[in-house]
Amino acid sequence: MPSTDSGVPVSRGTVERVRRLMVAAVRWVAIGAALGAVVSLALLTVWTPRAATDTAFALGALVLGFGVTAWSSAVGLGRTIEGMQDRLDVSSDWTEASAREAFFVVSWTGVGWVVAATVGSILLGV
Amino acid sequence: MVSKRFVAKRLLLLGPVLFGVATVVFAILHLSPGDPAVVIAGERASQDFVEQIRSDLGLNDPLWQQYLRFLHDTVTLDFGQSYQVRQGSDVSEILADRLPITIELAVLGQIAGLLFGLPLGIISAVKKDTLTDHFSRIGALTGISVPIYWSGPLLILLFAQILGVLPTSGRIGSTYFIDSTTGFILVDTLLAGDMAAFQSAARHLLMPVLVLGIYSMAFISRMMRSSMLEVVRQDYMRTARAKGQGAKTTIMKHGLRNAFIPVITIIGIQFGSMLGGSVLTETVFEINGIGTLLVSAIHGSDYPVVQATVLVFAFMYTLVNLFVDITYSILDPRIDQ
Repeated sequence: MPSTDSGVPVSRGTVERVRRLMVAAVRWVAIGAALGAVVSLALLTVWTPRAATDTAFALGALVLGFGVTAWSSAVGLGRTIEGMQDRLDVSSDWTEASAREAFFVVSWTGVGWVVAATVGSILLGV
Repeated sequence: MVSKRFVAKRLLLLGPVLFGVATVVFAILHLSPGDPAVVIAGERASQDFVEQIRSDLGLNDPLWQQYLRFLHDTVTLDFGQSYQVRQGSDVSEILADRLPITIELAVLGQIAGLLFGLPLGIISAVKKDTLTDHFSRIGALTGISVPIYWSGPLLILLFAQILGVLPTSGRIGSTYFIDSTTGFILVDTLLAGDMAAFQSAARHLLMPVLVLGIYSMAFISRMMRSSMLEVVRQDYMRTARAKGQGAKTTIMKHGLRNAFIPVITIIGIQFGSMLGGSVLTETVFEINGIGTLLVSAIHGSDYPVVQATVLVFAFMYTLVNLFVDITYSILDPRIDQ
């Protein structure tokens, strides 16, 4: 929640917000990397190293691409969609902020996944 | 005036959108079955020849390397050459040939949607709960519900087969040869000063435009109705009427501009549907636009063409929405605050 204390300088609030975002991003990158490693290892049991790491990379890229596209769409069109929901009287619990948060998670998970698949590919020498 | 910060913020979003779309397309293409090298070489080609092509195209490199190369080429606007659709031709050239065809169709479809949708929505709101309103709402609901792959053939059956008044497919009669100056067939025929060719082109475009327009019209009229209903209840409308202004003038002068704001948003979002719809419309009416190009490229595992086409779709969609946002903030300056 943003601070309501008027005594706190705006810049410190911004720094704190950026720090929290970075911590969250690192956490989701780590989770994504773990996911990417697990998927790569699982695929290695059935496919060749090349096919396994390529497929793991493509799956990670899909998560990353979907996350980034949806995040930017939420930022660009979120308010509009919220307004449209109100106007058409079909309001749901969907909000721009919640969508932004969700796709932030998906995007950074995708980054971690892609990095893990790339590292796997390099380590396996494919 | 629109603030520069507002426009800059919107322009900055172009980057992540295009990056995301490019990444999704790349991933989907490489996850789907089909080997472009086999498509290029042909089913009966030797394994050595297929391997040679794979090596030439860089398809033997690890996927992460191919991805980085693809991102680099995209940033430098080098979309490469077509593997299959028009083998060896630059993808940018192919897109430049086909893009105006789709833009013409989408723009005309949007204009048709606006021309019919706006008045229908206004009349429906002003004559709320009357027979006119019910008919208009049923029409809008039908328009939204009817898919293009159904309405297209139905119109062909009615206007081309049964009534025989409109041609079934293509962009212009086969007896006309018009040099492509702008790529927009209506403009090119006018520039050539050939009115008979212009009429032929207009008749050919009528059905595809109608098919795209019906869907757009339905959405716009529905939105216009709900928006107008909200506006007519506002105090300033009542005040204008109380001061002796006529009903028509009040609606046109004070109601329309305010009711139009949410409709503008719909127009931007609709443009995406128009582009998506153009894939189906072009296929049904055999128009060689970017939609049919995309379908052929997907069938032929033509990676560079698919990637470039989807990126162009995403770019156009984002640009139109930027334009809509700017228009929106001009009509309602509170938006960019």
